[in-house]
Amino acid sequence: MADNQKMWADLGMNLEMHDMLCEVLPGAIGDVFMSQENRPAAMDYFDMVLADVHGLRPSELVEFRNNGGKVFGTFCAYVPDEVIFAAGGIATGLCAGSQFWVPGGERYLPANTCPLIKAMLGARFDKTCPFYRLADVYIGETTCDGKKKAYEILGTDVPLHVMDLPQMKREKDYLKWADEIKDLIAVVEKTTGNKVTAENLAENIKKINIKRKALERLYNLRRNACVPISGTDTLLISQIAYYDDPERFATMVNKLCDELEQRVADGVSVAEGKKRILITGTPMAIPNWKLHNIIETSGGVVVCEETCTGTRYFENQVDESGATLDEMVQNIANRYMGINCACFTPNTARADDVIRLAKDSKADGVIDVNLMFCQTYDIEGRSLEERLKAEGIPFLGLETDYTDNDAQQLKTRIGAFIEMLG
Amino acid sequence: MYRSLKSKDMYAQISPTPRELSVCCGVSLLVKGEDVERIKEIAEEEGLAYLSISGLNNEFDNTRHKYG
Repeated sequence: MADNQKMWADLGMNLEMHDMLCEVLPGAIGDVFMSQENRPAAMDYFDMVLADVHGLRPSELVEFRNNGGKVFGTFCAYVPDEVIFAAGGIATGLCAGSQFWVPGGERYLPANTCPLIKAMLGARFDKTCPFYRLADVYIGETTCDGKKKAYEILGTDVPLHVMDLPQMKREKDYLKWADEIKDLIAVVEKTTGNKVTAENLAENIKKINIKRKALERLYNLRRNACVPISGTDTLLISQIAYYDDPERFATMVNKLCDELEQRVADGVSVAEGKKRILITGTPMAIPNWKLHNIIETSGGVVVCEETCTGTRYFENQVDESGATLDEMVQNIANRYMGINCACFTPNTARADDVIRLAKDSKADGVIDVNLMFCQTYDIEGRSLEERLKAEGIPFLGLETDYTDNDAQQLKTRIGAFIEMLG
Repeated sequence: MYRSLKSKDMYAQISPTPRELSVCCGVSLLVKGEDVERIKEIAEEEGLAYLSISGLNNEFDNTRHKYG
């Protein structure tokens, strides 16, 4: 444990302030995760990763960097990990899910900015997250106006490359995204000193596809009448997906799925008599477990997340048939352009996804939850509600942030919604 | 230690170290109070190292809604 302190000091972290975060996290983890009953045994790996979230993986990244490796910090499901790993780099998500980091972000951003963006800046400038210290280069993307402007500020403190994500889905936009991926390849090649070749890219397309398939298998198991794992535990796995080693992660998810298959066969459920809920909306980064915790202590069980910490992260594979580098890059672009984020116009395919997933998951109701000041998702809420109503799927729209202040209000609203589901 | 206890069908859960026991985020095993003596014996028999075994008056509360 002393090693963690030394590592954090070596990374130039603000130990005194970071200590305040360490003070609250164990209690939150105990209340949200350890209090659950009948958890799958194979959650032990993910519990370990979470229990030492600022120690285990960061120490691996430190060793990687000491051996000359380069780490790339990412913020979004659109950034293709394949090309970063192909160049011998490591991609790691930079979480930004804690209220702890928000005041630090508000020193640089207007208060009416989404908490995720504020937390991003707070984590960097307060020096209280080892992942933010370990990333040699940050990879941003133009998925919202708030992030675009925040990247300008982050870029004053750390090397940062922004990918220009098209906002429409015409053929020329798919080609444009492929061009952006080529620009990213140039950045990772320059940073790592390694070339991205057809061979190493093909290998890493397969590697990340295997990770996505493992997550898909996990999500499919939740569709059973016997729900073998809680939504809270699944959310944690989706969050860890962003920063764990992809091969080890896929192995551990598949190991868990073996156990869950047996649970389904044995009729073991963590959600006897509970209402099945699909969550859609904005991403939930560690340690944002608020909605899942409230839903699953209010008579519901979360059976699917149509979010960036859910199906948007793993649905659709990269076509592995590309023979040349150009073909592979286009195939990567096609897969990532298939994600339906509210930054696109039109984005009716997201409502199609929610309806499809609600039916496949046999959801009793859908909760659309958006981070405060996330305009694009907030605006889409209305049309999403209309589409779901037309399908006869009960809908609840919520807006929240990272504070605990609205927990009881949310509990009342969610409790009433679940009661209404009969 | 975790693997040893699990192989004996004993309760053990990998948990973050409570703040009261360490100023540094780290990993602990959550075990049952009534198993402590047996766990000490197992550690002795199998040469399993641990820093300390401590009890805290901390009940988990899944309706506390404090997330950090």
